[in-house]
Formats: sequence, C-alpha cells, structure tokens
Amino acid sequence: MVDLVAKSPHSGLLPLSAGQLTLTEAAPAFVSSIQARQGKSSALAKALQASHGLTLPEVGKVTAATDHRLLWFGTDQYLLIGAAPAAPSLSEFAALTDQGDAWAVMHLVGAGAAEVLARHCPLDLRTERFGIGQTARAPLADMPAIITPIAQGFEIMVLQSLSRTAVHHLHQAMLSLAAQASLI
Amino acid sequence: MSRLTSGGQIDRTQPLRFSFDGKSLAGFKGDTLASALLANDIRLVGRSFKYHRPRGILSAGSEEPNALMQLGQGDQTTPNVRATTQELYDGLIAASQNRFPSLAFDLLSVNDLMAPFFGAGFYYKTFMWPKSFWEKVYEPFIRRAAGLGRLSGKADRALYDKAFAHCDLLVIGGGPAGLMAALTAARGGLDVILADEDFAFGGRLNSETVEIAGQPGAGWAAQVVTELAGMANVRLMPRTTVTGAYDGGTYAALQRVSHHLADPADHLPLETFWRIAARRTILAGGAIERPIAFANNDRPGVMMASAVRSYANRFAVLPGQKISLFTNNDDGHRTALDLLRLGADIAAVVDTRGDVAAMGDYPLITGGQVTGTSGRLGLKSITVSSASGRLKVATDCLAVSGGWNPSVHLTCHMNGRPVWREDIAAFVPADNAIPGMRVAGAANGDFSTHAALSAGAAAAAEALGDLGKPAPATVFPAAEDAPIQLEPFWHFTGSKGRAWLDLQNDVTTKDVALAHRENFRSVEHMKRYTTLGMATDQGKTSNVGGLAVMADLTQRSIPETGTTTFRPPYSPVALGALGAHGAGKDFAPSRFLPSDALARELGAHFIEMGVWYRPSLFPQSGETHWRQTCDREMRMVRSAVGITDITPFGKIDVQGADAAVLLDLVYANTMSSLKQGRVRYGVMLREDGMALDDGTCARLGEDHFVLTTTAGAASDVFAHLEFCTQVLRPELDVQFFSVTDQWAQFSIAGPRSRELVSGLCDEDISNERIPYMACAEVTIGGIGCRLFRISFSGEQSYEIAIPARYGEALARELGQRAAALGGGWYGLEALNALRIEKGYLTHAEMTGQYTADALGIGGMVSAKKDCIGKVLSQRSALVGPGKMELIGLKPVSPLKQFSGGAFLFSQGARQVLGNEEGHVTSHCYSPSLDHVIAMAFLRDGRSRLGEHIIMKDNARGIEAVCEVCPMVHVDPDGERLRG
Repeated sequence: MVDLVAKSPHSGLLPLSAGQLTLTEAAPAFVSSIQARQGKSSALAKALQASHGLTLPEVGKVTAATDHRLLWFGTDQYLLIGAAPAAPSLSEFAALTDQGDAWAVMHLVGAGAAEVLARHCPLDLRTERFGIGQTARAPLADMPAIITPIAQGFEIMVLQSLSRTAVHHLHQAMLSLAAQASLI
Repeated sequence: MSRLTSGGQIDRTQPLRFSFDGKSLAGFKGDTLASALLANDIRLVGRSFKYHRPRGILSAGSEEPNALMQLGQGDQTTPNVRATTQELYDGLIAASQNRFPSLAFDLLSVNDLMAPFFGAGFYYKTFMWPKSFWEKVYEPFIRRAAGLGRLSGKADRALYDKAFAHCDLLVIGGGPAGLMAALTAARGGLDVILADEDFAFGGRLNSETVEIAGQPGAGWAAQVVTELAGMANVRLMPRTTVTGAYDGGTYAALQRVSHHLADPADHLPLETFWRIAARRTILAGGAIERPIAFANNDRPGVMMASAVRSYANRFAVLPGQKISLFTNNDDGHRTALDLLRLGADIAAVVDTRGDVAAMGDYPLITGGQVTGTSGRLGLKSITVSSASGRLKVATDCLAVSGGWNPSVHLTCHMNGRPVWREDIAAFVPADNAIPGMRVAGAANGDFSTHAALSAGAAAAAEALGDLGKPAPATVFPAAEDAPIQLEPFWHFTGSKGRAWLDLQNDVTTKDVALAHRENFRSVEHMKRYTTLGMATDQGKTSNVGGLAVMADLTQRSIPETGTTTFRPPYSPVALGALGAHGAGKDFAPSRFLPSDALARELGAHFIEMGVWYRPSLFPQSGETHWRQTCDREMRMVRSAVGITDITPFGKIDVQGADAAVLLDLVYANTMSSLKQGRVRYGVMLREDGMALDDGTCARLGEDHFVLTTTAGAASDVFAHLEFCTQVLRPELDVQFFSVTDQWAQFSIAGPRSRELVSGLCDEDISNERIPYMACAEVTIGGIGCRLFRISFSGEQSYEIAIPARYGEALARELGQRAAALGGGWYGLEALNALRIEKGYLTHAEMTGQYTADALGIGGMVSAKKDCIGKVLSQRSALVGPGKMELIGLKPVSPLKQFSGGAFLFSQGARQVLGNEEGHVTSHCYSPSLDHVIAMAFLRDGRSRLGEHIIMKDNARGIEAVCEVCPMVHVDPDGERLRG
C-alpha cells in the first residue's frame, strides 16, 4: 500500500519571530463548514448543543467549548474548529464539508500584534471593538482571511494555497514593526 | 554665522555635519535643512521652474515653494524635498535643483531675459506648429529646461509601508488648538489620534514668544505632549501629514518614518501611508501666512515674517544682518519686537496702514509700500514708497506679512467651498464641509492663542457629546487674545518689474492680467492658463493672491471671484508610499499548487495564471526550445500517461434537497437527470445569454454534487450561485461551499492511465465499474479520495482529488509510477495544445461575448427546461445569419504558426476593419497531425467547412490562406476516452 505523508500548509514557513512578536502554525485537528438547511437553523442549534455543547454564534461571534469552537462564517454558515462534526445528528439539519485541509491557520502573538495586522487588514482591531469572542472575515493583503482575536494576538486563517503569501506579508510587517519599535 | 549663541529649540550638544552642493556644513539636532542652511548664511538655494530665477527660502513649513532639494546620492536620490520640513541628520547630502552648471551661474537663466516672450499661454500659442514637432522636439526640450528635481531612472529600493488605523477622534494639527482638542478629548475617554506634519508638536507655539498659563508656549506644548504620550487612548503621530479627506470619516495620511535618520535600521520603512477611519475629526491645521506681490519680490532674502520668527525663535537663526519688514497687520510689528529682543538690527518696518504707531524701538514707515528690490543672487536693498516719497533701504532680509490664510484645504476635498470672512480678509472653511469634521483655531480664522485654545477645547467637547461622553472639567490656560488688526493689501501695481504670485510655477501678476485680457477670467480658467497654483505646493502661498489680482481686474470682490478647487493630497505623496506592499511580486497574492515544491525540483517553468503559479513546461535535458518540451509531453500523454496538477480548478460542493433544482437553473443543460456516481459536462450562461463558464458536475449523492469551474472563473461562478440563491430563488433548500483549497486534484491522462491509477487505488477501477464520466469515492494509501473519469485531453483519463495535505505526497507517487510506465508530468503548454487538438473550450473562447451556440455547444441548452440566460441567448442578432461560430482552421500550405487574435477575411475581400469576418482564438502545433491548427470564430463558420480563408495579423506581419475545418482533430469519435 502507498504510504502518503501529510504536509501542513506552513511546513517550512513557520514559526517566525521578530521583536516581541511570534507567528506560529496552529493546525487544528478538524475544520468543517456547517450550513443550516433551509428553515433548520433552530433545529441545528439544538443538535449542536446536544452533540458539541455549543450554541450558534451570532454574526461576527465565536462560541467555544474547551477544545472546540464554532465561528460565524456567513448567513446560516459556521466553521466548526477542533472537533469532528457529529455527522449523523448534524447532517439532518445542515450541509457539512470537510475544510480541514483548506485553511492555513496561524497565530500572531505578542505586543504590537494588532499593529502588524493593521498593515494589511482594514478591520478596527482595537480590543474593545474586536476582542475575544469575536471573529471576522476580512481582507488580508488582498487575500480572503478569517481573523479571530485570541489571547495576546490573533488567529489568522487563509486559504492553504495562499499561506506563503500570507506568511511573507506578515513577516515583513513584523520585521518592519520591530524596527520601528526601536525608533525614538 | 547667523546662529544665535543661545535660545531656540535646537540641541547644541548634538552637532551634525551635512553638505549642500558639495559644500560641508554644520548644524544641530532640531534643525531643519532650511534652518541649517540659513545658519550657514546660505540664502540662494534653488532656481525657479521656468525662468531659472535665483530663489531663497520663503517659509518655514510645508507650504515652501522655493527651497526644494535633491536628497541623497547615486541611484537612490529623492527629488523635490522641501528643505523647510526636512529634519537635519548627520551626513545628510543635499543638492540644489534645476540649475546648470551651478546654482550661482545658471545658463538657463537666459530664460529670464526672454521673459517677455514666455508669459502665460506662451507654450499653448507657440508650440502648436508644426504638429509633428511637439513629441520629438518641443516636449523633450521643454522637459529638460523646465522642472524640478530628477529621478535616477533606477528602481527605488526604499521600503514603504501602508497601514490602517481607527479612532474616535482624529486631530489634525498639533498647535494650540489641536493640542487642547486632543487633551480634552483624551481626558474625556476618547481614542485619539493626534497627527502633525512637524517632527515637534506645538505648531506656531514653537515659533512664537507667546505665553500660556504663565510659561512659554513651547514649554506648555511639551507638557501637554508628555501627558498625551502617557495615555493609553492616545496615539501621537508626529511627522505625519493628513493628506486627504474621503468618504465615511476616512483620511489619508503620510508618515515620514525614517527620512530623519542618518543610518536607518534594516526593515525600517521610509514612509508609511495611513488610512485612518475616525468617528469624528478636528481640523486644527493652522493658517499659512500670505505674501504681498511687489516688483522683484522673489529675491533670496525675501521671506515670510512668520518664517523669520520661526528661524529666530525656534532655530536660533537670524536670517539677515539687517532685517526689514513689510506688513499690513500687527504681525509685522511682533516680528520686529522678537528680532529686537534677539539683538537683530531692524532696517525698517514698512506698514501699509497709515494710522499705526511703532510698538518698540525700530524705524517705522506708515502708509508705505515696498515697490522694488535689488540684489542679483540675494536681497541687498528695498525701495519704499510712502507719502514722504521714495526711499531706498539697505537690507539683506525682508520679512513680509500680508495676513493669514486659514488652511482650508482638507475641508475642500469633498467639494466644500470656503467662505470669505471680511474681518480677516480670508477664506474660512464652510460649515460641515466634511461630515464629522470640526475646524478649530487658525484653520477656522481664530488667530489668537486664546481663541485657538478655547476653540480646540470646544470642538473636542462637541465631539465627546456626539459620541455620548461628557466633557471633562478642564482648567483653561490663560493666553494672549490679541485681536486681528489688518488692512487687506495684496499687491503693488505701480511699478514696472514683475511681481511674483506663484514662486514655484513662476507666475506673476502680469500673467494674471494677460489671462484676464485674453478672457480667461473664471478662476478655473485663469489657473490653467497661467498655471498659478498648479505646482507641487498647490499654490499654498499664491492662490488667494492670484484671486485678489483677478478680482481687481474684473472689479469684483474676492468671494465673487471664487476659489479654485483643492484636491488631495495636501502635500505631495510619493508613489512608492501609495504603492506600498504592492511592488514586484507583492502586486498580487500568489497561490501555489500542492505539487509546487516537486515541480520546482523537476526544473519546471512556471506561468502565472491569474494568481496561480502553474508549471508550463517540464523541460528535460537536451531540450532547448519550449516546443520540444511541449511536443514531447503531448506525445507522452497520447502514447503513455501524463500527470498534471489541476488543483486551481474551482470546486464547489453543493448540497440540499433542491440542489438539483438550482443546478438545472444555472446550467444550460439538465443536471437533475444525472445519476449518482456520474459526471456531466455543463455550461452556465449569464443572464444576457453569453456563456459564463463550463465545467463538470459530479453527483456524489441524491442531494450532493461537486461542481468544477475553470480556474479563472471560480470566484465568478461562486458569486453567480450566491446571486441565484440569495436573490432569484431564496426559497430553495441549497447549501454550497468552496472546497477548492480542501482538495489537491491531479489529472492522469493517457492510454496507460488506468494502469497507473488502479495500482494506486485500493478499489477496483475497471472500465466496467468506473466507465467514462463516472465518479467514485476511493481510498489511496488509506486516505479517502474522489476519483473522476473525465478528460480534457481526449485520452482515457482520471482525476484524483485527495485532501490537500497529502497532495505533494501523492504527486511524488504519481510521478514515479508514471515514469515507470513511460510517462511523466506535463505542463500547461501541453495541456492547452492537447485540448485544442480535441476542440475543447477555455476562456480564450468563453470571453463572455459568445453564446453556447457560437461556441458550438448550443445543443447543450436544453429545450425541455428554462435556465438563466436562455431567453436572451435567442436574441435575433445572436441567432440570425452572419452570427459568429467557432470552427477549426488548418493551413493550406506549410505555415509556421497561427496568430492569436488575427483577423479572418474572405479571399478577395479588402483587408480593412469592418470587412473582417472573425478571429483566431487559440492555436498550437499538433504533433499528431504534424502541422499547426487553430480555433477561430467565423461568421456562419459551421456552414463554411472546406472554404479557404485569409488569416491576417498586421501586428506580427503574418498572412496565410487557411481551410475552415471541424474543431476536433484527434479521435473524433471519442474511442480513446471510453477505452
């Protein structure tokens, strides 16, 4: 039998650091899209609560359990991250697709993380406007991205084919900000 | 040396060396290049744009029209740097511009002698004929003679940055009004950004001797800045010019990050271009002092009075040994008092007003006017006319104060028109010219320090109120509140010499008069005819003066005369800053294939398809021409097996009880009849009937489909589906999601493809189980994959989709197994030629201008159902005689190559535009046929098979007789596909 070895989208690219900032790969075990079937949002909510202990997040929000989370992704669309979807119970009310290989997930952490992100992302990243529990789909240097605040920084998801570009831009911004931090 | 031994805000403990035109000079930290030049007694700093007149430093700020410098050396020089804003650093190298051979002796100053011929409109009138001379003779000559600094012609290696910022309140300008506004708002709890173009906050407080709360204004400013710097809700942005006001509270700003550093660290950007989104804004950008036009008022040594105070008070430099003043308001007198205090010699204060008294011990000429000056490379004397006659006064510096123009520029960026205020004889911003913006301080015509402070505090309190916060109790600092005492006086008309208005574009009062005489009387016409205000300084020191002259000539008031339009940017922004993050490869994101690393190891040549990097060729040793590689790869596919990475094809997962209903709506052909485990080729139309995209549709389950799209149209198709489900049929139970990046997908094509694939899959993939156009879930090495029996080459062919993380591993495995079967990788060139041999379509044909019928797939538009685009595809022009039809072409006699885009003409027809009957879309060399072939659109093409027709490409000089033929050249019956 063929032995195929998996390669992560950030293999050979991360981790990186500059100044007080680090950019590391976060490879969640599972990512799935969940889209409620027509008129089945509340049934889906109940099923998710029963199977994963999660409520459906509001627009731009995240609901979380200990090791898995549900990100709002669009109207009646969610990303379940960190756990395999309880397919039989959820499928009745939702369309599921495996997205575990589609996204390259990074953590940008450290003082000034928002400043780095602000080089490429027009979101208002001030903590009181965009804090833990929130998420947004936003452009990152002309790429579609999902930005989610985490402790001391941000989780950044881009399509796996764009991981090299995303890392390049973020790294350049980290180096630039580190250099600017030493300015008087 | 003109440097005072004490005082000022320079740091005498940090001496700096710099050079100007090769001469080594000294200055101090805290100097601008301009103040350091003046401290070294250098008054002549440049030559003017058109007449090459000797020019000196006029101002001490960003409004400077004259003192533009070339900074740096070699291929990384920066032209047109304003010496008045450039901070001095150790080792700075500056050179004057627009002179040859030297600044003091400039050959092109002959232009000045020719000035009577070079007035406004000269170019328009003179270089009209002969027409052909413009591009070859006139323009190159004028470009060389005129102008400012020079670019090196080499790529700019400097780093530029771009960033976004958000705040509750953006305060533009850090003078008394801005500081007070920022302080009030920050204490009230708003997120505040305070931006100032200077490297030191304080605005005029740094240059004046006013006191605030009993201490020098500059000290008060420093104290406020210290408090602001300690607040977490404040971002201080010195060296940052807000350059434009845009919709939705968005502002553009240019931050000069490292222009002031002798040895910038690696990765440090030169400039950062900011987009700042602010809920409220306070413009406190101050005012710009205006000159008075009189004969020869452009000599080095003629300066603005406010600039003289800046150089004296802030930089401890006396710009002259014997300084005179020309004023129509009290500022001239304050300047004299400041200079006296510093020990300067005042030659005279000339006041246009008759009823004023000297405020100190200096000679005062009331009711007087400066009517002329002398001194070739620098001011030597002025001529003063007054009731007591004409008087020549020896002086090497004349400080002029014609009153102040509030900096209304940003308030005009969204079409606001400033309003004339008679009491200060100046334009002030219109109310609510920019939504969310308030204007405070001198920018609004509040010129006293007290008025600026209170206006800043009041504007901040209003902003706090808007955002639902109470204003903090602020102890209001005491400051001077001198009223404005001004008599409007714009220009002296009595003398013969030229009186300059726009120093940067060399426009005089006479040019305005000429414009008037030639009936260019609207200010907008006058501006363009004379070029007044059209230089890089946008006429900051000249606009209102020009209006005043035109108002006099037309005997209208200044407000009746109107203003021209200020547009962004407020001051010049380097294109490098606007293009930050977008240079070279950063212009667009790059998407890489799962097999990218392997392809690079194999030495593949890459091509950018959209943003994807895809291998075009996999050359082998000995192959010296791309065609050798392409032909070999094609033969390999036709005779053995080839592999190519097709991951970029869009993949859309569609589910739901109504999935088939949606697909029947969006595809021209029927998908609801597709059996599970089968794939169907489909074409989608736009509403207007033109083909949007083609691709395959695989039915994985009763309510589960996977569509493929062409790589380039993936997002268009996705957006189309969104539109259809959100707008047209929102009641459908359909869910779709992009799975393009989830799956790595490879095509395995050729007569030995089954051999290869069956060895990999754990399941039986015999022709019986997986016939042509079947699909199945399979496992490879225990990994769940999708197998599709579809072909884009005309050969027996499979596509394997595997979770992307295993893409590279599978690619390596496929490559090895293919090699063992006499096959290998093929690139886009071969892929394209293979599909042309089979007459398959790509976006070279589906350009959005052709119907399914034109593309030869009209039969796919189902007659049994409706679909998007069906009705409009039946428009008479698209179905009647003479419609375009896609056909094949082959040469009649040996032809090296067809030409993409070449026109087709009937034999004997005149080969002129309008007679063309079609064009070539795709072409290649076919190794199977051993000649070139093409696809082309031709009027009524399908009924012209066998006809000889002319292909003509005038651009490449190719003409050939071709035969119209069917598009399918290889295996027309599709036996290989099914085999």
